Amino acid sequence: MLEETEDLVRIAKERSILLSESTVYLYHPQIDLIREYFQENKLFPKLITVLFSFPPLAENNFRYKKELGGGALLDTGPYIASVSRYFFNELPSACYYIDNSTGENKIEISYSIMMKYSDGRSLIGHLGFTTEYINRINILGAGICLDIDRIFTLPETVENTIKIKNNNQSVDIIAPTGNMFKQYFLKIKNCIETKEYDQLYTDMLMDAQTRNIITKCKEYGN
Amino acid sequence: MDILIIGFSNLFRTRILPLIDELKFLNSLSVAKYCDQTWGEVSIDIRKPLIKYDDYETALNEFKGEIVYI
Repeated sequence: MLEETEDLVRIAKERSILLSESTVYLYHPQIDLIREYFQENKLFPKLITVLFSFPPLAENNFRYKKELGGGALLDTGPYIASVSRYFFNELPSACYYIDNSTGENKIEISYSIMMKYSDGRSLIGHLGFTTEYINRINILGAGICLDIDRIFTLPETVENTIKIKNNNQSVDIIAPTGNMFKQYFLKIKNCIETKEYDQLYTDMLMDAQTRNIITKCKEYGN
Repeated sequence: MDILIIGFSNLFRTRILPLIDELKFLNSLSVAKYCDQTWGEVSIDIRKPLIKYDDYETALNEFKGEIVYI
């Protein structure tokens, strides 16, 4: 899959075509608010916990069919990879992958993960389709504990509350409504008009590299 | 600009379709379904020109616009 992404990016560059993976949740205004809060308060994430898991799906759902690109890692791996990129902006130097699947499925339906980064930073996650619904990240660092629910799929009509504990003081930041798909398409339009594609190529490659590290842990052991 | 959506999915219907008229820079919508899929009774109710393709390959061969979203 990494090789495919590298080929696609190479072809896109040769032909001056925009190529982007639509991890649209990063275009919701709540993400900007989180980044601004960290920057303004000179805070840094040390541990990010990603929980994105939901109840089992109908038996005929494509996510249970390997030949249709099923499996929890293909389904949710882009979320882990993009969180890793957005908040740490580097590839993990080590990875530990646990397949939590049980039952008759021949593909993973649930996994946990731990990844290591420079400066003592790490990311842990649990993702799949075997639990009650959860869609949340926690960002922990010196003097900061931030929780945000529905981070990946917030409906456009819903305000969100970012719950923060900063040096033992609780702060709630209300994120305004926003349509992440609309913002993503507007970004794409602007990039096409300005022909500024490099950051999108870089983001896509970095996510593919992170997913490749995870996939190798899954296939060959940690 | 013109956009082709590859995949007549729930995500398209619920999150992208309602945006098409709102995104002023889009002149038209093309959408392609999986060849074994049916269009069903879901209507694509937009004010802009609409082209429907019954399979991905035809869509990719015939679409002449600027944006393809998979």
